[in-house]
Amino acid sequence: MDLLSACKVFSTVFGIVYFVTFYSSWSPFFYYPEQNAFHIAQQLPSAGPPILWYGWLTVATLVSAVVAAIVPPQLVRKCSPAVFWMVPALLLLVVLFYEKRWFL
Amino acid sequence: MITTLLIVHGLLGVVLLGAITHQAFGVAARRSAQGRRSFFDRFAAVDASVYTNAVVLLFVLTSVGGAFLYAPYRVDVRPALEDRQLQAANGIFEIKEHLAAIGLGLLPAYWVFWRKTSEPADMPTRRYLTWMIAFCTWWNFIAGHVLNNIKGLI
Repeated sequence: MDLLSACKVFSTVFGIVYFVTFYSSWSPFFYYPEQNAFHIAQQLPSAGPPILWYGWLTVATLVSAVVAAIVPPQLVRKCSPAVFWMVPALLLLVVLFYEKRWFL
Repeated sequence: MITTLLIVHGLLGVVLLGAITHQAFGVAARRSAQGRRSFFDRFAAVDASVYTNAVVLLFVLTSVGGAFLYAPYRVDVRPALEDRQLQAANGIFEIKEHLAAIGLGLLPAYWVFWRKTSEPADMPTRRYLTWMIAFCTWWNFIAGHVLNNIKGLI
């Protein structure tokens, strides 16, 4: 594994995985701040509001790290450097477009 | 404890904002320095590469601080915003959390493209990654202050 190539892949994949998890509201675990406890399953409303963000970050980090370790460095070197800013930039626009729902 | 963390989080944000803004101006295309140099020319006339490690460290530290502050925010602030039907305020926080995550994810590539050995062909990518991290930082800083002004954690 080439660290520099892996870093580029990690950053490119991270945002995509993060977006998929938050768009689908899927998280491998939930943190309930009122209970100060992590749960695998969603709890009753009496447990208070859950935080999914930690789960989204965890999934994005793990999946991106695995993909970054798998993708061959030769393939990364063949990619134009523009790929590594265009994909995150597009993703940023998609996130902002999706979140405009709060301001309508 | 929350007060201390909030102040440290804010101070780290200020330092991060300074570093990334210098760097973001430093990578912007400028006219050749002939005649009088403006404030912005002088502001941008820095060795932008020296900020890279500091930006990575500060972004991570600030985000970790924010992650700890998220729990009290979710319990104390967000319900108050919902009660007052301040949907836009909730929205700017939602975007803040996404930008923090996306910014964290960008840091490895940002670091790679700021290495001294980067090729000239890498320069546009270096510039746009820097601007994206600057955008995330500015949004998060302003959103944090606006939310704190509406309903603080304390």
